[in-house]
Amino acid sequence: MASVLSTLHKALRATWRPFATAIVLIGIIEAAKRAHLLPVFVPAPSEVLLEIWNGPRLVTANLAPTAWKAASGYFIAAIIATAAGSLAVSLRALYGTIYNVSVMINSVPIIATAPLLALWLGTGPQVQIAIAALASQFPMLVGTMQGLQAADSRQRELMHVLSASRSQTLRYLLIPSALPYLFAGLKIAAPSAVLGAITAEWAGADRGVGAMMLYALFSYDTPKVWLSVLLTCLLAGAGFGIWALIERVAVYWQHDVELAD
Amino acid sequence: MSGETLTFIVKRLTQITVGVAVFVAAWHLTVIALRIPKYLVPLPLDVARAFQLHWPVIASHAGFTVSAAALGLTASTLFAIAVALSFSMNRGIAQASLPVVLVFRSTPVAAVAPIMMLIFGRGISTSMAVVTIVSFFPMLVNMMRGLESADRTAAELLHVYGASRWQQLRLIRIPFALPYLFTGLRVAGSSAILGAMLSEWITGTKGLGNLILDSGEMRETDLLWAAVLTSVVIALAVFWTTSAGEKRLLRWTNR
Repeated sequence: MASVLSTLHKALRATWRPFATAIVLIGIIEAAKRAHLLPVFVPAPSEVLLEIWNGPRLVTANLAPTAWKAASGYFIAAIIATAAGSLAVSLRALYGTIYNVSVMINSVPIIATAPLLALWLGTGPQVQIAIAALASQFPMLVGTMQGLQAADSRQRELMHVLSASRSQTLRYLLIPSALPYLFAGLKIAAPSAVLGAITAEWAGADRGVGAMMLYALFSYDTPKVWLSVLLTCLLAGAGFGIWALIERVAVYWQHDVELAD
Repeated sequence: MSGETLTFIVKRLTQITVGVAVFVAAWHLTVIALRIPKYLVPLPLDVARAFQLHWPVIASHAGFTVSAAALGLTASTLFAIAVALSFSMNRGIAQASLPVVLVFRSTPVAAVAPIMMLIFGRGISTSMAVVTIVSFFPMLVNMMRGLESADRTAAELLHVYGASRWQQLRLIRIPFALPYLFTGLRVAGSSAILGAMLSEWITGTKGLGNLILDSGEMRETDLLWAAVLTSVVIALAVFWTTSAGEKRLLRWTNR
């Protein structure tokens, strides 16, 4: 608990400056808008806030479905990607195939398949979940594969000399050295899952941040557009931030490793 | 072109042809064997007929998407090169503007696109702007990494020769950065096509994204499949050409 608190404290100390900058910036935009210096497509921050104040139901009713759709897709992808990554590392013969399939899925404009998926899976939330999963799988797979190979040969030899069993090697060497990479993958994948869910909602959904964004765009309701953009960033940032926080506590010995792209 | 590269190309082409043939055959047989209804998965021949019937439409839509992506990617590449060069020449500029760059990195396309549409309206300029912003970050990161990657001893040699900063840049840093340019293009290329299609979805301008959406809603499955396949082929073509360029240059710098 103490470590969690101290981590939070550290995080706060590190973030108060950007926070202050943001608040000052918002104040400047507000003043500029009041002075009619800004074009129509930039609303005053107070207008956006007023939108939340006037219709909190609008925010909650749209934020919740997107959040759970993105999260379910994300976790499905996480389970499959870590399993496939471990399989690829332990079974060399499958390494190339698994990696190439993942690269293919990642380089195909996956949202282009949204109408196809809608035909197959129906028009419910399944499509959005599937696309969130497909959009977020790649970093997690790369993280798992790179992480499980991160232990260097001397460490492996040491485990061998100590006559460690396979499960002991896994527990004391491979998993600890894989964790930083795994977390890096999990962090990067979270915003992609949100992006996948929202774009899938553009293709057809009655609820969700994406649907709200589309309605607002077509009715040229600028404050609502900005509100939905804000919610998008919030969701993506929250997904990233939660993992970053868990990482700080769980992998205290090393973080911010770089994934190969 | 030497004979070696020619045989390589021929080999690669046969590989691709065989792969495509196997894929199409498997597709056809699965649909027939499992009795999948036509509106779910059409037969390859039906898709081919849709291509034959609608190719002017598909080509013009694909042209819009590709040109939006290409123009946006060019703009962001030039921009990223300029920024990376100024960062590598001057530490102060780098430190002052990196936070802004980080903000750009963490904004998802879904958030950028609607704002660009409010600014640029319903046209190709929205797609271009979205592509530029989306592909800027991977380009910048890779260009910065590339300019840092110059061989230590080579740089020291130039220093001993009393080379100016400009000469250092021209003779060492830029050549060493070239493979990274292709790494950046490979990563940014797929997101550029994606960005272009996404913005077509919300703006409703001409383009593959919109064609896919429309034909999906009209239940024109054959045309839908033809359009999806076109977009996949474009994306894979971009991926393969950029990774081939990257590999070639990597051999050249001996990394």
